[in-house]
Amino acid sequence: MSSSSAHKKDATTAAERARSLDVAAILQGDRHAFEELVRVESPRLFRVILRIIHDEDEAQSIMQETFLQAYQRLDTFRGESKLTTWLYAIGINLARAALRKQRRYQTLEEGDIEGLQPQFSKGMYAQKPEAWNPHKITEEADRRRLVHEAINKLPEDYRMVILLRDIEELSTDEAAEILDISNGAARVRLHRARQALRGLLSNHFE
Amino acid sequence: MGTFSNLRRHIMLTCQDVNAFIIDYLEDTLEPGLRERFETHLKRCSICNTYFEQYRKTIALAKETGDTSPKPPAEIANATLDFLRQHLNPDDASSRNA
Ligand SMILES: [Zn+2]
Repeated sequence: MSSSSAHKKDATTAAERARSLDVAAILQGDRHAFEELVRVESPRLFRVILRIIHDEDEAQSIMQETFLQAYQRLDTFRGESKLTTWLYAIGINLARAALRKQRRYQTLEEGDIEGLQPQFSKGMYAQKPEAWNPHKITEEADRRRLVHEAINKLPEDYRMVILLRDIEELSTDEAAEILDISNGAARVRLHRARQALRGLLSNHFE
Repeated sequence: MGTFSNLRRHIMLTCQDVNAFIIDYLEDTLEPGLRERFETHLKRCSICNTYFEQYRKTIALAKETGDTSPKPPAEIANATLDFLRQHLNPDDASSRNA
């Protein structure tokens, strides 16, 4: 089942990270331990930030600012979450603030997202889902571009949860913590986001 | 009675219920009885089955967009370390260590 393989993957990643990061030393302000954190986490953090703001130079400077702030604010880390979750929360908040200044992307609105959810009548699907034709878009590059564009159409809150949970494969708990919402709220948002994305993709795959 | 409750167990979930449980099913947080009813419904209802497969395909397609790495990892890390060295006073770090 895909859910159990996703769990397995999460566990491996966590173990790998635990092996190379000396969190206690990082928290004591040990420069070398912090540098290791930078080496281990910056490629992925860069990717996440880039997906939020779509500009390599800006993503790089936001990521650098993230590590700087993290280092300067290490004493505010309370140890209730993983250090990396805390780090990602700083980075994602900085990226979202930058995004709000940019406002380059025209995204869907809440009403559009509602319209992309399946409708039910007496407990049954009001509209039968059409089968997807997997050969409709065979070129992988085309398919990726299409899906990428569809994700970018989602309102920010929905895009974030897809990015953290489905693309970066963080756990729902971690995604909820980074977004500062409850696990239940994260699940509701994730479900709506996936259903909206499915609806957008249906236009291309049916 | 046995047959009736057996039947009830299988027919009680509506398609709308199944839809609402998709996320819990995939997160593996449905209690076993419900999980079984969810799976039974999927086996018997082609509409829910089609929807569920598309839902999973959507997740896989989203995941696929993340496989591209824009820059070599070492380059990104080194640029960040250079930046931090410029912005953090070396005395700062040693005083924190003390
Ligand atoms: Zn059904």
